Amino acid sequence: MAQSTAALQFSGHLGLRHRLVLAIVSGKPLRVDKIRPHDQNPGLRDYEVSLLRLLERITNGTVIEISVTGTAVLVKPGIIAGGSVTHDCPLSRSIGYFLEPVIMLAPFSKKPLQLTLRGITSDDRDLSADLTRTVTLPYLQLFGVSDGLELRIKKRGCAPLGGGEVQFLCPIVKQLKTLHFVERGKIKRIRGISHAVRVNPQFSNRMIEAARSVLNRYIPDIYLYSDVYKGEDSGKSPGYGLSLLAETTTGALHSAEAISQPGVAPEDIALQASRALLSEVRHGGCVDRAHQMLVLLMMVLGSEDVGRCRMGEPTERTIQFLRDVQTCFGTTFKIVPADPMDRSSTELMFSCYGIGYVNANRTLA
Amino acid sequence: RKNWSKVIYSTSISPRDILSGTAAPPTTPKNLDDEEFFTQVSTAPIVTEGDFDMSKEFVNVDDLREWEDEAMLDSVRGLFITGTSLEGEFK
Repeated sequence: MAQSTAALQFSGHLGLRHRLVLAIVSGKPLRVDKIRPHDQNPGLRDYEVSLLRLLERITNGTVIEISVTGTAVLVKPGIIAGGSVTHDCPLSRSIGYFLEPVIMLAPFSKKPLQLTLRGITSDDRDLSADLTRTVTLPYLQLFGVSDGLELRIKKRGCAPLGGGEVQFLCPIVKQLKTLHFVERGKIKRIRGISHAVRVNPQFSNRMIEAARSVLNRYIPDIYLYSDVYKGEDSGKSPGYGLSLLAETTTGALHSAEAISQPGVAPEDIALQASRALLSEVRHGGCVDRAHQMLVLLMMVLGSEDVGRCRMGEPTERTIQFLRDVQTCFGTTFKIVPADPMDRSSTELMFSCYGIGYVNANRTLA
Repeated sequence: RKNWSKVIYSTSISPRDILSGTAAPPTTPKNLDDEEFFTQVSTAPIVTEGDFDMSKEFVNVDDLREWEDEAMLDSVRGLFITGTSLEGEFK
């Protein structure tokens, strides 16, 4: 991009992923220092180094320099190349950690991305492959990234040993559509995927039954699918989990999930997921909390027009992201109460003028 | 009511402090203005899980216990398509 190439300077390990995305999209060099300087084990973690490596492989010409102590990193981004890439994720984080920044970058590649990731498919820190498929990708479709967008869960892999495999296919776009998503609508259906690998397959049905005990009171249109993976496809460790999503009449999605923990019964996991879904629904907005960042980034990069979106209150990560967007692109969002008359409402209206980002990598091809 | 644009762009308050500040105003419905009614002014310390860079919010199982209450479960009924007719009955 023909923008000023003043380096972006940040401190600390938090928000590394979205900062890398901003740097690569804008083409500005990124320098992050003070990465866990006072930690017993200072510097970048294995998963962060692995992420840097993954980004290096889906781009062309990226230069990454890590200081001797690992507490500082300099990234000079190249172009987003895309193409066919396979990456083995370390077992310290699930593939959701790696997919999140890749999903933000992939639509702007030179060639459509076909990424195969191996590792843990669901854990309690990052979005599972299920929610990425059922919620994250539909959000991307709002911006015109749709034909050929797919996430295939080839094998499931639970912590600690993983053994899962997913394939992410993403088309390229020239420019994103402007978002106008201001009506939240009412929830018309609930969908869910319950999985259980290397444990009694009945666990999956028990979770479904327990989730229904909470959710059946609201609407009849509830379909919870028991996704069974057997043999090699079920990974190396036992585990189970339930991911849920609520869809409204206007297409807004709210999601929640819970993953097996030692000594916790499947019913309790299902109740946890169902209640987390209700909390998420109550939080409001057209976008759930885990996807605020993705949607806001796509709004910033959208065509030169005002995009608007109703959301619940921002999360910690979202607030930091908004500040980093301002540092990188100079774009600020106008954030006003969505219902100024209703003082009990915490919903907010986010609007911004898109920078009109054009996928220059594509036009060069 | 918080001026989000201002606290995000014009101050350097850390994201966590911004959000814990928002937790201070009572989160209970407006019509419960009884003086005896206890309002929560501070929440339990946020468990940071070693400050991991997580995509999902840390779910506190104790916070979810509020949903064991039937009244609580009914409070979100209006957000579902089946809720419109029922909402009138509750009022």
